[in-house]
Amino acid sequence: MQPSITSHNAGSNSPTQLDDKELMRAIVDRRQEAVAELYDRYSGMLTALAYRVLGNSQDAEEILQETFLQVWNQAARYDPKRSSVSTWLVLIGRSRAIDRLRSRQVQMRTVTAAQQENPSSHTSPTGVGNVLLQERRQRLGQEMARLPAEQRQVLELAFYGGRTQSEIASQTGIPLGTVKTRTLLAMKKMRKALQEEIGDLL
Amino acid sequence: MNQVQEGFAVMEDTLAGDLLDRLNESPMPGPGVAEVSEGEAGEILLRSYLEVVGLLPFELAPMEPSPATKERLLARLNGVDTEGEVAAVLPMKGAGGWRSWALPLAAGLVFALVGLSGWQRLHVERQQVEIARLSDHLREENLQSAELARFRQELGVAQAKLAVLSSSGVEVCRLHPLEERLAGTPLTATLFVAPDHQRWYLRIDGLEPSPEDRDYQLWFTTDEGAQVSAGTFEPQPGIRIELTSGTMPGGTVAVSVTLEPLGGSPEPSSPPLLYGDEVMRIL
Repeated sequence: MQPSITSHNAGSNSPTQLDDKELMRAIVDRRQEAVAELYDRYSGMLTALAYRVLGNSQDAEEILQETFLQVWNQAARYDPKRSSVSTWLVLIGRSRAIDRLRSRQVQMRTVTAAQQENPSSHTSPTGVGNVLLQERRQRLGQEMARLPAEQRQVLELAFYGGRTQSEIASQTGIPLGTVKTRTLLAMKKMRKALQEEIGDLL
Repeated sequence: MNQVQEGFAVMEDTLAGDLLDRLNESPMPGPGVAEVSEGEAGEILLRSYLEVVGLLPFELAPMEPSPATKERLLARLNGVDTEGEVAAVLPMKGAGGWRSWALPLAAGLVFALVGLSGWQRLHVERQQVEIARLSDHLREENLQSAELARFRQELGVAQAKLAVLSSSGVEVCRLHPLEERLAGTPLTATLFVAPDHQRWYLRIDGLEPSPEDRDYQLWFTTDEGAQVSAGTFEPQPGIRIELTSGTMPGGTVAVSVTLEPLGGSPEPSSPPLLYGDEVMRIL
């Protein structure tokens, strides 16, 4: 008998609930309720990510749907040794959003718009699982805020803007070597600061 | 910092510095990138930096998608297009005469037509989902292959450096600037040679870009006085130069760097800018 799929407490070890990896196995077994559960856990974050990249709610929700369709179709390709489920989802969602961004060829404008806009659809989630996600959000926000502005800038342009280091250099006028150094420093600082969170995901 | 730590740092710089670039190159990078990690150290590093990337969007305020998005998703998982569902056609009340048979017949025809249309639509939708799935699969396979080859190559270089730096009995030779104008600069250059005297790794920091019509060229001097070229290179501002190879001339006693015409020279045509012949062995 398969375990039941219930609402998730992020990080919980309760045996009555499926963790992300167990959900992935259930999806491989073609259990749609597992997709629904995974969706409930991460749709808020993934929609925000796609919105940040694209600056458009409708596009963001389409990306969200495409992301989970890909999860459904390619669940068997997920390997827990290579990444956590949430990171796998982020990489899929982000790459789809960046693809769409590139196809529009309005990168600079949309990223700038996304940074300035404060959409009303932002929500404050409730529930134990979401409290833990909120804690993670606060932690990430703090660590990103601790980065020097110039390091945060290159990290955001690369991650949310989908730009390579060469593109960042040519668009900002910052020497390529400086961009590379800032990216490297930012990544190293974030890895060091997030050791606990990374440990939870491994 | 010991040699292993230094080698680890070199690998970390390679992986962490370029990871986002690689993720930007591939639409489906996660598993593909992770796949190339060979060796425990590289695997752990790569995994941890991927998780850093995966954590980044958690800083954003979550946005709740509309309930319809989830409904559409679940319908698509079933291969059903909710927008294509057939609305019920209700029989008319109080109909008599020709209506008693004509209207049910018309309704039946409508049912049949709409049902057929719905079935066709459902069929097309399923085909589209399958085509999209296969296209995604094919695209991912192709991109992962190219990405994998690139990353394997770079990881191979990083591992070659690590092998040299972490080998027991590695020899270290510092190259010193010979030109006066370079003496006060933060220029540093170090050659690491593995005990087999074949594998080597040269690291140079702070070397200014070469003039437009010149290339830097690396030379090994043998105990017979021969100058053997190890190739040309071109620094970029702020970027460490890292050169490595699995071969070194037998009887090498010194290493030097000169400025040569573009493409390099068969033998040095100018005095060395950097030179080193004092070897320190690290046990």
